[in-house]
Amino acid sequence: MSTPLSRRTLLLGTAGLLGGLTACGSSTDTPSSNGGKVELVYRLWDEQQEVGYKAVFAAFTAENPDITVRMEVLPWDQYWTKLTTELAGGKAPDVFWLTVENFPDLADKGVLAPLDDLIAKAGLKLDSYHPNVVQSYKFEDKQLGMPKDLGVVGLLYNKALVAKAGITMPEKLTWAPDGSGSFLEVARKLTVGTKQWGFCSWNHSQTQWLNWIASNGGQAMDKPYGTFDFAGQKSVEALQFAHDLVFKWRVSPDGTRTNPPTGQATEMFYRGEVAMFPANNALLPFALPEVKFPIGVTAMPAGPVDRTVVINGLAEVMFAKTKHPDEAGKLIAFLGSEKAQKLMGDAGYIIPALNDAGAGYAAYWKKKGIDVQPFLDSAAGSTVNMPIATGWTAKVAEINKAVNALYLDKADVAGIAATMDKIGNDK
Amino acid sequence: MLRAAPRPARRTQRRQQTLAGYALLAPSMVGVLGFLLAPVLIVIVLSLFDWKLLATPEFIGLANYRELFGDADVWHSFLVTGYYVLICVPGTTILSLLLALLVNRKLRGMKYFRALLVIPWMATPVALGLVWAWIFDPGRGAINQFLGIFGIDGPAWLSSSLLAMPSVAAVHIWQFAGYNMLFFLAGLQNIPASLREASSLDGASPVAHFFSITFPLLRPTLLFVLITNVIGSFQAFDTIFVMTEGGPGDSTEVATYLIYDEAFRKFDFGYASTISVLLFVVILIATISQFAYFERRTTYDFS
Amino acid sequence: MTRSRLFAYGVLVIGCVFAIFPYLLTVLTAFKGPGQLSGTLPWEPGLPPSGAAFDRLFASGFGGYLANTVLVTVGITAGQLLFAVLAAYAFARLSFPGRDALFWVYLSTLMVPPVVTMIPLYLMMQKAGLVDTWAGLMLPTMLGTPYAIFLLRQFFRTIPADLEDAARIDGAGRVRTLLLIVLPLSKPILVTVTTLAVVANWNSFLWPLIITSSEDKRLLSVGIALFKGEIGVDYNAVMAGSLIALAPLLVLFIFFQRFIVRSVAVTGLK
Repeated sequence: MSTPLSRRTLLLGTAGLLGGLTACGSSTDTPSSNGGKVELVYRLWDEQQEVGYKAVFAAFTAENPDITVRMEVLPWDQYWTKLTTELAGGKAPDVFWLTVENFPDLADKGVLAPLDDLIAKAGLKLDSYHPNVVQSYKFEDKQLGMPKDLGVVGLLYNKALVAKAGITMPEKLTWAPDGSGSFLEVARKLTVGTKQWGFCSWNHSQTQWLNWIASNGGQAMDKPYGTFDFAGQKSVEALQFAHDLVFKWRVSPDGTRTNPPTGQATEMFYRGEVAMFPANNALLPFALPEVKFPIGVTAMPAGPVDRTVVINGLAEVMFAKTKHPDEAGKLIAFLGSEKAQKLMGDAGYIIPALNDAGAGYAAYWKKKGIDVQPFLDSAAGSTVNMPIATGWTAKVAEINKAVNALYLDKADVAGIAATMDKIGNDK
Repeated sequence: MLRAAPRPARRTQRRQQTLAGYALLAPSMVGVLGFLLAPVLIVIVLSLFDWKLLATPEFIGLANYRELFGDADVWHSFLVTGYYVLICVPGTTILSLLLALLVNRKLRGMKYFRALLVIPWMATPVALGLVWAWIFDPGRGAINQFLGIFGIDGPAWLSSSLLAMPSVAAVHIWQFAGYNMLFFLAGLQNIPASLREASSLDGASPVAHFFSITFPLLRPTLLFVLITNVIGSFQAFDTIFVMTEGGPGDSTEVATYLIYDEAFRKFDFGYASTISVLLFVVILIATISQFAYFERRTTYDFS
Repeated sequence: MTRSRLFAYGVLVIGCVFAIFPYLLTVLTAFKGPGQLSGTLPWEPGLPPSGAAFDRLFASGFGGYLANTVLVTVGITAGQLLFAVLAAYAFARLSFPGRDALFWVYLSTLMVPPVVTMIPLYLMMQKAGLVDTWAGLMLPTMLGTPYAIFLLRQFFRTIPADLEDAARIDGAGRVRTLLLIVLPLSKPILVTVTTLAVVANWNSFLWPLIITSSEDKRLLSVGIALFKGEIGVDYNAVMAGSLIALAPLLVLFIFFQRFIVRSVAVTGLK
């Protein structure tokens, strides 16, 4: 067989090519500055917020006439695929959005620039932001993310169904592993036949089982990058409660309807098949146009150790190898400023991570007929972070997949908890 | 086969053919070798490297391969992939051939029927994932509501380790049956009229006619359909990703899912490449076998 | 005769119902207004129909994405068709050293999943300075895909060789034989290849998303996916977008059908 190129040439050629391809690192391909003007790339995945950020960047350019910002909105599902591909080539946007769950891997790999100096230089103080968000983006004592917003878990409910059942929502809902407390009582009253459930207990860590664990006095893990303890007594009780809501007390649809990726949990709330639905406040802009009933908001049920809710805030991060560190730094500082955070909060997009900047957010939603105060109060109360560990991107996907079994009644709860620990504590 | 030494005239002719051949191939060679083969070769080379995100690749010889052979997840995923291929390829091929025979008839409005049958393949992938979630929903989904009419209590398709795989495979077949029908249709249309009419004059039954005349002439098409379907189903990813994410458990964890997981969640591009090379070898063997079987038994000269 | 025809229609209708049912949900959802999605079953229409989703879609710049997609699809498809025909003819009809090896090299490029070759290809484009350019978007596929080449090769091989030989005795060169004899006999497959290329390029998603970033180069498929967010999905807009994406393909397909005629019969092959 005579090939046009010998195998040896090909191997050598590609090996050389590989060396050449990966040994580079720059923020953009074409220099984006001309005549002292710099264009920064800001990447996000939310089409709704893109509109809000137009105003933010207009304000930024007004203060910094030599810097313009170009937004790149990407679909959520492919945001990480694209970022990873780019990073393989040593490239990334100057400033981009990051979630807590994706933070550890990028921090660990040196993708993110430390922000402490520029935060200090800009006169900002980290302790004026919500401590959970600040903490989530800390790595080896360096601040690698500018706190952007707060995702707080609260309990949304269908006011029409609640009124129909003749219930007044108690001031404070309570739960306990043994099924006592006002929460289950209300959920039972709101469950009608097999078509309407009082609650939706489904596999969503942030708005569901992590909250049960925390408010039962358990710990998903002892400290960031620490050891997982899903198999601890309090955690197992909480997971058992999540399970029992479906299979023992039957106030929730089961995992065949709700398990990711195809589950319809949120849609079931929209349709009025589920009366109470824990959600991140960021769901509101999406939920409001979809529902035909007035949405009520109350705080998550308080457990044996009172109420503790999960905070999942986003951060804006700066690429460590950006070609324009000074300009990108200015942008980061501006995004953390009261001005930028309030622009986004007042327009109802987000609860700013900046403390005491949520009044505009509440006012916005009040006009839409939704009282979001319980979200703000919960954020100011006892809170807990999403767990993070090294290699978290892969582990969290695997853990979440394992928990699907809980909602299918496929395995015993302690066994599932042990599996979760095994995945989380691997290596 | 031995040949007599070519005479000068034949040699010139051969040189001409060689020249013409490469001239015609030139543009595609730039494209295929430059943009398609080069990445494949890089993937093969990368399988010998330890390469994590942002780090410089480090040559580690066959270490990735040693890991591969001891990796139970990899072997499991290849079994799962094989299962998927075994449902999808025969399902798609037989269904698409039957559809082609049907739409090859001269009937009023046929072009609209053909168009409707290929719609599944034209659909935007993003929308499809959402639609399938509605259809498979065990409570309100279209399938179980339909079964409910006959008093059947439909199962939870995607939450069952037993049913999840056939379900995603069914979606694959749904998506590609009409598409592959197009090839068979073109193949049927390419059969010379003389041959089509010949045996109908003999009074042969349609079935006998199909197996004695039509089917042998469709072999080149069949080879194409089989090979591309085998390659395609070995690499199936999108549907599985949006419908099951490999679950429940690991029941639909196909090889490409594992590759994606290694590259984009564990950022281990070297190991992802190694699994890809194994997949490549498996697909290559499957393809060569089909070629060997078909090219040996196919005669093209039927004039 | 009539009974067999009736039977054929019956099977066709059932087949078509299966084929388009999921898409029916798409159409219905696209025309549902605020609140109607949750108020109806997926296969029930939302009354009255609402164009709100389309308004949201076009407010997001969808018109521009549509124009980009048309341009890219036409450009890539034209190139693919031309170069694939040339290559397939060489593989099917000419004999030259290295032919079979090269054919296998072509085929082998289909055997490594794109999810992993995408990274090296991106790195190459980056090295060549083609990230976020039209060239980077189009080049990898516009010089002919192994898939189309393989398909055409299979068909060219079914064309009786003596037809060509006859023409060559008449003194026609390679290119003329290809143009005058082979291509007219291959109309059905050329139409099929064109359809395939148009649809594949029109719907192509991951590579455009990876290689381009600017909004002025964004394609339809990416523009649709933007409505599926982290927390919420704008079902109506996603479905409206995919409906718009489907419509031209469907029209084109029905139009192309005219050319799938029994060309062999028409040319009066004995």
